[in-house]
Amino acid sequence: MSSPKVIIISSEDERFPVDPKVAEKSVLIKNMINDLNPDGLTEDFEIPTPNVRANVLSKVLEWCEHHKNTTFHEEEDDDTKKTTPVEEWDKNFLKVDQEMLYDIIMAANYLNITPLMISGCKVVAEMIKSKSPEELRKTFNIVNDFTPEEEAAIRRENEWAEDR
Amino acid sequence: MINQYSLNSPIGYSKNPYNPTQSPQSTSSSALAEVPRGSSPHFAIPRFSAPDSPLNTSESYYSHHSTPQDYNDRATNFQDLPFEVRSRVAAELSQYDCVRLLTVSKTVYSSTIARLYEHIIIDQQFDRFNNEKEYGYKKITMQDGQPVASSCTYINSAFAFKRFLQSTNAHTTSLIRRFDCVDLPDSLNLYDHQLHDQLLRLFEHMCLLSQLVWLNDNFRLEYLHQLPHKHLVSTLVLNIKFSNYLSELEPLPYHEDCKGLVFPNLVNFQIQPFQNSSKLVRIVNNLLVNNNPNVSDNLDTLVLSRYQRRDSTSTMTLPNCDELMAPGRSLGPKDENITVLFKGSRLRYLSNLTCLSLDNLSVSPREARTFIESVNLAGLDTLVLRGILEYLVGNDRCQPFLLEIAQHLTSLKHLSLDHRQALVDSVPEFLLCLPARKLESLDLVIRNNPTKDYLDHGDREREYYDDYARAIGLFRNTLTRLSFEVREEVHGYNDTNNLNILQCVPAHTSFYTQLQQLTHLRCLRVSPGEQVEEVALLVQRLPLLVMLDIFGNKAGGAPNLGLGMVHPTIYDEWFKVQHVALLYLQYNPKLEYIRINQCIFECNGPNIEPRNGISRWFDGKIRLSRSELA
Repeated sequence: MSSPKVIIISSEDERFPVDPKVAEKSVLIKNMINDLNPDGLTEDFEIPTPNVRANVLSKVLEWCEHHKNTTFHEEEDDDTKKTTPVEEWDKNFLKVDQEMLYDIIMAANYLNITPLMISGCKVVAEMIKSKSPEELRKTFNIVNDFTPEEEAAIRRENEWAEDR
Repeated sequence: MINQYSLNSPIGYSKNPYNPTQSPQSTSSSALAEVPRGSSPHFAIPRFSAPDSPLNTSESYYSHHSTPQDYNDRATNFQDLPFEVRSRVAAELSQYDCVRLLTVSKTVYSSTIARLYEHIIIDQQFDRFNNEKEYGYKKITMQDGQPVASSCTYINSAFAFKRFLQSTNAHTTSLIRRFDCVDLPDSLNLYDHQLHDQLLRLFEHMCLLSQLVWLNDNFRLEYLHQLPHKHLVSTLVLNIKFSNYLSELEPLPYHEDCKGLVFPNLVNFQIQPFQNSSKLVRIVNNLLVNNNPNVSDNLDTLVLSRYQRRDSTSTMTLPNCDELMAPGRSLGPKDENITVLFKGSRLRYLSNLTCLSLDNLSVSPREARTFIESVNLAGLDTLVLRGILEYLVGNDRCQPFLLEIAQHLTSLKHLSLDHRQALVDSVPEFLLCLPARKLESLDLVIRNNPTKDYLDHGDREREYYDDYARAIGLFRNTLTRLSFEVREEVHGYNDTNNLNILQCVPAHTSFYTQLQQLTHLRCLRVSPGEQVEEVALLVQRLPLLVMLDIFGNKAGGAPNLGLGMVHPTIYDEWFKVQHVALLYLQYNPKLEYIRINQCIFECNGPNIEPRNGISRWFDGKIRLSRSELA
């Protein structure tokens, strides 16, 4: 008999059977499994995720599968450099259109998969870096709802933090 | 051994031109050729949006904290992401990107502004091109055993600081959770009335402040009085050198003013300079304990420095070593002894202390008992005892202070000792007596003086240094950071003062050879003196070593006067010693940073690049520093 699986069900009722080790990358799912099966899994265990669509869930599970043996450390390790860049695999994995990227981040936030969420946020941050406000509005399709006076006031108020 | 780089041949001479493209390994038939090469962050979310903000958008934390419904609405736009996700994105940005992001839209402003004000660091040394972690935009600190990330915004000029004070309003100031004044720009005059008033207003509006660090001279206790929510403050690191605490912090009974200075949840308290024990008692009683009986149980870190930013290169030492032998004399309050701190103040048993640093206090063997009864030594993770004078008093035959306390230090991981004694040196035995072999950092300043007559005999002197090496070697499985400095006092220099000079480990010992067993070392600080070859071999044998700090008179090789004329002012000092840095790099190509006296080089393959403005970061990595204790 094969070992019991965790079956994650998407919002469209599509079923994704995965190893418990893969599913437990999600702290939400891990806690659910532990709370409802204190003696360990003896049979397949279904978890509905009504907020996550199938195409997103499949991407998230692909990430979980890839990182099933990865141990994530806090960023305060001995690394001497200022920032910890996004891991190369994650970077390639997150080369998707903006909507999909936001969906993955939202799903990671909902399922409590912090490392995926951080990678996603870092990728969005990369899109923001070194862009002017106008370029940012264009990149993210945002309408400026400030009046010119308000915008000038913000600029004045935070001038001290600018590079000079 | 023929090396491409040698200690006394600076690069630039026609005999030794610098050829950066040539790999040192390929140049000689020396032994060097055999060296193998290359062998949930928490983000603070604002709890409220101030109603008086001129930019009070309709969005607040409560209205935009994500709910399950949020996930049903697809985010097709950055603005559609939940507030906390946008805040996390902002936390990954530098302050400069944040400022640009603020003006994009009201929604984006609301999730970005908190990141900009969360952790303000005033540091004139900050340079955005220094890529080291200390200058990063995200700092991770431990809080209740959990790593907590905070996003930093730096101010490095007087202009920016003044603009900051002028333009912050009650709303933005209320977002500040940590305020670190590490190094104020030189041109600021805090005695200026306008600036002083603005600072008072700033402190008055810091509603969420949990950490206050002020290392510059001009701190005033009035600022503390202004803080509205003192119960939120968990960390106070203050330099009160020129503050008016003497008039404000009265001896018992309390001055009215002190009643307002109650920080009931303080866990990290660091003060410099306390100057003398009566002032120390006053500070501890009024500022730390005050009307707060639980502070002794809550306190996690206690750092008390008698002098401001202790100067390790100071050559004067008080008192004369002969005075340390004073049988029949007992230590009184004027000796700034440890008993005055623990028994003379209102501090109770410090049961949860993990980090203790005491500076320039005196002890006697008898006071070990007081120390043991005052601090839960078994819980200490970090112990710093610098400039400690041990008097031999009375006629009893107590064990030296360090040996008495050693057996209680069962959890110690980081140790810094600078302990002066007459006749004997109990440090090696103290290290041998430590019950747990867990030390990760060891910072030793050895104080030799004429009363230690064994140092005049070759064999006994060799044994002495071998004892040290053996004791340090006990921690070979855990030690990652070692700093070893020897200072010798010159007798009879002056009646009241002792001149103490930097010494090095004598040549005939096996000290450096024994240190080769410390294979986990990542950072090493030594003064090689004449023993460059031994130190270089040690560096070669340490596979994990990435940071090397070489100091002392002869650290940079022969004095070079010519280079000062060829390259006036620009990186002159680096040019003079770069050949020494290259020499060590040749021995260990895995080194990442090398400091020769004050000149830091970053290693890049076989080449080195001079680095400026990262001394404090480097010090923090190589020694137990104030920033680390914070």
